[in-house]
Amino acid sequence: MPTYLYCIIPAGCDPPAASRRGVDAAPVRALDAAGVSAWVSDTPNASMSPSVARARVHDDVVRDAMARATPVPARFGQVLADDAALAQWIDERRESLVESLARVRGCVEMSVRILLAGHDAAPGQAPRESGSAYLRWVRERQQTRQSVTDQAEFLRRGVARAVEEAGVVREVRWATVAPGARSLEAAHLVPRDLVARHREVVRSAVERDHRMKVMVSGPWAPYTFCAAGS
Amino acid sequence: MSDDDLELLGDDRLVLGDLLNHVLDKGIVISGDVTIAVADIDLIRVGLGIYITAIQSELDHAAARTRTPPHANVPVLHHPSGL
Repeated sequence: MPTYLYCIIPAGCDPPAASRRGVDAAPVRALDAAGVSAWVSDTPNASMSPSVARARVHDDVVRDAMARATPVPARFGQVLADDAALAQWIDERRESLVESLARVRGCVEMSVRILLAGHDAAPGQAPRESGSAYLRWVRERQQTRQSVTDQAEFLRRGVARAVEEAGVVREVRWATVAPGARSLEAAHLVPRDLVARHREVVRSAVERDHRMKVMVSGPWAPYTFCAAGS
Repeated sequence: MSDDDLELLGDDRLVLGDLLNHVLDKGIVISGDVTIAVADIDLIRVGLGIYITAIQSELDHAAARTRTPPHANVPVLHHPSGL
């Protein structure tokens, strides 16, 4: 039967509770392989369609593992043919998985997002009366967006500097900023015992700039810091 | 850190978007890239302007549309080949 993977945790951690249910209410179990432990469940499906409910359950199981030790979380939808195939996959990547576990040990991920307030404050509808009016409107819109983006980027760097100086992050990962993005995002790998302090530092770093809004969510399992592929 | 501290905190609008962003787009993958697009919404770029209800609504609509084949657009989960 196909095996669905939630996460990898260090060997020796307590297994999931017998009552723990995963995606589609399948019992979650630990599969020990190559010196690590994989949290898995059986699934009759060779693939897994995404839904909000299933995504929540996936994260709930990973979060359950996180209560034991910081796991290397799997992306939703990772299905292998059976336990033997997963064990082989783990064995072939043992070194990188152990490295990832060591990298995130004792940490959680905090998501920091700076909302670009005023990003849409460009002049209203594009004028139709003349070409020059239209070009003027385009220029004003670009200037507004650039100004807001520059301010947000400045603030993002300020937040990164503040958390690093306060010693509340082990690592910071920036998200790529897409053209026209309405927010700037970063993932912070934070020692578990510094989560509350991290929030304080982030908030105090942006208090002075009321044009931007910062939003912090977490703690998450370190999905962003364990994005290694096959 | 106690188990209680693991409770997810944050702006409600942010939390579901972030949950989907983390669970569907990040973490280790078994083979190759897993790309998920639902109803033409790139979940990687789910923005703050999209509320939880809107996300749920889109997913529900996407799920409904998959019951009306053929439809190549929603939801699409490209799994590793050979599985």
